[in-house]
Amino acid sequence: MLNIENLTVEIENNRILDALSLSVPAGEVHAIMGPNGSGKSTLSYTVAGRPGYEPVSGDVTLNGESLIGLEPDERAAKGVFLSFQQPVAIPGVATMNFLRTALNAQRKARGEEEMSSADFLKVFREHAKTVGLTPDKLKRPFNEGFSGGEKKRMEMLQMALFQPRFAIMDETDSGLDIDALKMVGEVVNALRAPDRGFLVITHYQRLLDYVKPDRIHVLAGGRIVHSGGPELARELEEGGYEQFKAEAA
Amino acid sequence: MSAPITLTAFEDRLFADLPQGEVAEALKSRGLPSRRAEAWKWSDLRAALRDEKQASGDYVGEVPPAPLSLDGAVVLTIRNGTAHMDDAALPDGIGMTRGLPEPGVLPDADLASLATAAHTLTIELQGNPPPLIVRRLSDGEGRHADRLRVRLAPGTCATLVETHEAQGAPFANSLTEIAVGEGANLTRLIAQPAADDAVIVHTTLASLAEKASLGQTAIALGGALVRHETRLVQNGESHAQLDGLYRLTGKRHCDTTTHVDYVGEGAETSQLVKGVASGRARGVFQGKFHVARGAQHTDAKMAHHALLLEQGAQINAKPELEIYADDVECAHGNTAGALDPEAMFYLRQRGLSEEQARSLLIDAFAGEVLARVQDEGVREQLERVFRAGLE
Repeated sequence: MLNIENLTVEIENNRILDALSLSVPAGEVHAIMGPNGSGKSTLSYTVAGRPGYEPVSGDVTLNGESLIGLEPDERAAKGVFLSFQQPVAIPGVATMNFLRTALNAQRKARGEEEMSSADFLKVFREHAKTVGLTPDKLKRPFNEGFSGGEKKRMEMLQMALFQPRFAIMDETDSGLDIDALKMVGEVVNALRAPDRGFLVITHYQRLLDYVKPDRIHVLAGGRIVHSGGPELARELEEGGYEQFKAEAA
Repeated sequence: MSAPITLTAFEDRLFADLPQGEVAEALKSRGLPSRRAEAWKWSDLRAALRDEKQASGDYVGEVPPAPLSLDGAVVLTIRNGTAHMDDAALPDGIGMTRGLPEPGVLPDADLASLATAAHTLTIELQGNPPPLIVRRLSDGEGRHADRLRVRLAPGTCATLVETHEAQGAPFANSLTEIAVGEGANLTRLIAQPAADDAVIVHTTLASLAEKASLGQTAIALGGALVRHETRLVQNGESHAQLDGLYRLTGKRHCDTTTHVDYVGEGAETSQLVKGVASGRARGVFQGKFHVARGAQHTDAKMAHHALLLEQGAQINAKPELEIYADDVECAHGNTAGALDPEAMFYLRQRGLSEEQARSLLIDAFAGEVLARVQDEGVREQLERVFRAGLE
C-alpha cells in the first residue's frame, strides 16, 4: 500500500525528515506518535504534495506507484487524503459546491462518471449526520465560524465522502471531546477495508482507544526510532519519548 | 508660480481645438494631469496621451452585445461622444434635453472641466421610471468627450446603468453629473469591459439631497489607462454605497478614485472596493472621506482589498479620512496580498486543479462585492462582466 523509503525533507535548509522509512500495508491502520517538532506534519505534507515540501531524496509510493513529483490534486485523485491538523476556513466558498466540485474533479481524473447533484446531496447529508454537523452549518461558507472541533468534524465528513485509498489523519484528535473522538472512531472503522490504509498521527494515546492501530511508530528527530504493536501507546503514555530517543542514538 | 510647461503633441492639438475661454486657459497653464499631481500620481494621463489625436469621427464599429440588459429599459447610446436618442419613444418619467456646450471650470476636476466643452444631454427622472441604460461606445484612434446630466426629482426611484465599451485606441472622456433629490433613490451600475489600448476617464460629480440614497457598483476591467472617479457630496441623512470591483490582466490599468464630502448631519456611506490583478497590470484605489465641521453623526466606512496573483502586478492604494467633526464614526481598511497558500493547498488536496482552486478563491473574493447588489438578475450579469476579465 503506502511505502515510504529513505525520505529526506529539508525546509529552509533544516533537515526535518532524515531518511525516514515506513510501510503501511493495505487494510491496516498505523499510528505515528512523536514529540513536537519531530516531523509529523512535515511527513503528512510531503506525502500529500504540499508545495515547498519536495523531498531531497527518497520515495513515497502508493500501490507501487511513486507520488513524488505529482501535483496535490493528482495525488488526491489517486486516493491520498489528508485530514488537516488545522483546517482552513475559506470565506465566500459555498461548502457543498466546493465539495461536489472536488469530488467530481477526482472522479473525472480517475475516468469515473461524475456524481449528480441529487446523488451528491444524498450521500453528503448522510455523512453530515454521522459526523454531527447540522444543515445550518453546512449552508455557511466553508468552515466559516466553525470551532476547532467542528472543523475536525468537517474533515471527517470529507474523509467519508471521498472514500480515499489512503488517509493520513494529522492530529485529528486535538481539540476533540470524548463524544467527538467516538465519532472519529466510527468514521474510520466504517471505512476500514482490505484495500484501504490509514496513517494516524497523534500526540496522545486516547484516540487509539477508538481507532485501534495495527502498528505504532515513534517518530523522533525526523526518523522512525521504534515500532511496535498497539501496546506501545501505553508505554509511551507512561514512559514518554525519551526512552526511544536513547534507543535511536 | 511654476514655469510654463512644454505641451505635448496631444495637448497642443487638444487645446488648439478647444474654444477660447476659461477652460482652455486653465488647462493650458497646467497641461493634462500627470504623476506630478498628487491626485494623479499613479495614473499619469499626460504620459498615456503624448501623441497627437484628432477629434473622433463617426463611430463605425459594430455595436457589441450589451454587457448589461434590464427588462423594459430605455437604452441610450453615446457613440464617440455623440448621443443617439429617440425622444418620441420616451416613456413616462424620463425626459431628455440636448443642449449646447456650457463650458466651465469645475473645481478639482480638470477632466470634467474638459468635458464641459461637449454638448450637454440632460435627463430628468421622476416617479418610478423604467431603468435607463447609457452605453458609451468608442472606437478609432481619436478623442471625444460627452457630458450627461441626470436629475432625480424628489421621491424618484430609478436605476441608471452606464457602460464604457471601447474598441481601438480612442481617448474617451466622460462626465456624468447626478443630482438625487430629497428622498429619491438611485441604483447606479457601471460596467467597463476590457479595452487594451483605450484611454478612458469617467468623472462623476454627484450630490445627494436629504434622505436621498445612491447604491453604486462599478465593475471595471481596465485599459491602457482607465480612471473612474466619483466625487460625491452628501447632505444630511443621505445614504451612499460606493462599491467597485476590478479585474486586471496583461498590462491593463484601472484607477478607482472616490471623494465624498459630508456637509450635513447624519449621512451614511458604505464603500467596498475589491480588485484582482495579474500579469503586469496596475490597480489604483484612492478614496477620501472629507467630513466638514458641521457634519456630525456621519457614519462612513471605506474598505479596499486587492489580490495580486503575479509578481509583476501592482496595486497602489490611498485611503484617507479627513474629519473636522467630533462626533462621527469613520473607518477605513486596506489590504493587498496574494492568494492564501494554505487555502490553495487545502483545495488542491481535495482534488481541485490549480486553475480550479484559483478561480474558486477569486470568485469567493469578488463575491463579497457582488453579494451587495440587491437584484439577483443584475448580480449575475455583473458577475459575467467580471468573469470576462479572467480570460
